[in-house]
Amino acid sequence: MTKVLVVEDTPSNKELVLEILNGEGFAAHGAEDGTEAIKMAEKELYDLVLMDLILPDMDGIEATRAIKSNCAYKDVPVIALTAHAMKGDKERILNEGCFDDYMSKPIDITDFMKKIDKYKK
Amino acid sequence: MSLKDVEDVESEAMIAQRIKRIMEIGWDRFETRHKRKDGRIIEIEASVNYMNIGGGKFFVFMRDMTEKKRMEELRLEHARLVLANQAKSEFLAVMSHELRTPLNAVIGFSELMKAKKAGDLNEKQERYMDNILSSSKHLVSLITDILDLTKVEAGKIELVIEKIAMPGAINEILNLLIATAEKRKVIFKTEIDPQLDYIEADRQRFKQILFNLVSNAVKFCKEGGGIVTITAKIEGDMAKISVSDTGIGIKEENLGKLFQPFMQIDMSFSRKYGGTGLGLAISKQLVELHGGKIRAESKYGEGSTFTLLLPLKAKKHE
Repeated sequence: MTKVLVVEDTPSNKELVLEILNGEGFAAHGAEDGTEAIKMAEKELYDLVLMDLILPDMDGIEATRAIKSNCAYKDVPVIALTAHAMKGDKERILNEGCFDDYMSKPIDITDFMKKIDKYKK
Repeated sequence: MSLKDVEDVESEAMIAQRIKRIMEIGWDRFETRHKRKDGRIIEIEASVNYMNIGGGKFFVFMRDMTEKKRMEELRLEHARLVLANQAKSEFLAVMSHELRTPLNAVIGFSELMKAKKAGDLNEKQERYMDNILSSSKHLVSLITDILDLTKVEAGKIELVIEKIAMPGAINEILNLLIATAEKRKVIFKTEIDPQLDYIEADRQRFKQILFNLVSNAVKFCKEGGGIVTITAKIEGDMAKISVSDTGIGIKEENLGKLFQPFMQIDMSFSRKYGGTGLGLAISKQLVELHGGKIRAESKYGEGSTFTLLLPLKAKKHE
């Protein structure tokens, strides 16, 4: 089963994404801040990471860099999943160079799954 | 003419006091305002030296500071505006983010419910879910549109000017709307002058404007359908593009309100016809940003015509 780490600090949004992914045959786990995400990524090798950008302890870019500094995660895709959805945000975020893709909130479940299914193992 | 005739700020007593002090200390430098012969008031800086020779002599140098003062004020005002604008942009970015976050859960869970991921729904529950979904999606478009409008108003939108081929761009928009038009029994007609082969504009924004006009024309058609005619031709150095419909029309007293934000003529309109009520306000701003004009004519009960005038050649921005 494809293992997904969902980093999201808003409980309802975390539950939503976990609910969608687990309902579609993924094994999705949630982390509510950067520190927890880094710890979880050390304990288990995930196949995909969905990363919120604003977290209580650090931003998603910092958390992603920390996770990717582990060699095992070199080729693991990290997708930014963010409510920063004004014009230009996508380009600005992808330009940070640490994300493999970008999705904006609110998500449309059909579009969301289309994107995520590409990473299914 | 004595000093009190030209002095605009200080009273006679103040002038006397100042002269007395200058005679004691020997000099002074100060700013004040003087009246010129033609009555105009100027800002001046005066340097006065007093020498106790030949019964006492004053040496006065005066500099016209009007221009310098004005520049200074302008610079301060500009700095204030830049700061205010930055604060506004930051506020909008935060607001967009904060509103989208809870909407993500509202829309997402509604979709899950509708997809019966939490069990079967009865007919009423399904209708309620549809209402929640369409309202929250409407809210998302409102957020997007409000931010768009505010960005245009704040001059934050930079146009990317390129050559846009006609009638290709017009047909592209019609293709996007053909399905909706068919549903409402609306037929498209085009009358495009072949001499109008291209205009210079921002492609994305041009499409946004035209899409708005044509989708309005389709939206406000009469119950039994109608005809939407798009005409395009050259008029002087402008491209004149009109979108006419045979729809419900607009009362004369309401024509003036059309391009104001949130001015769908009647609040019940947005429930019946959808839309954010910001489309025309945004379109007007975008047209004016291009150096163009937009206007509306209408006969209530017969239909409306929206006319777009856009420069064929874009003005170069400095």
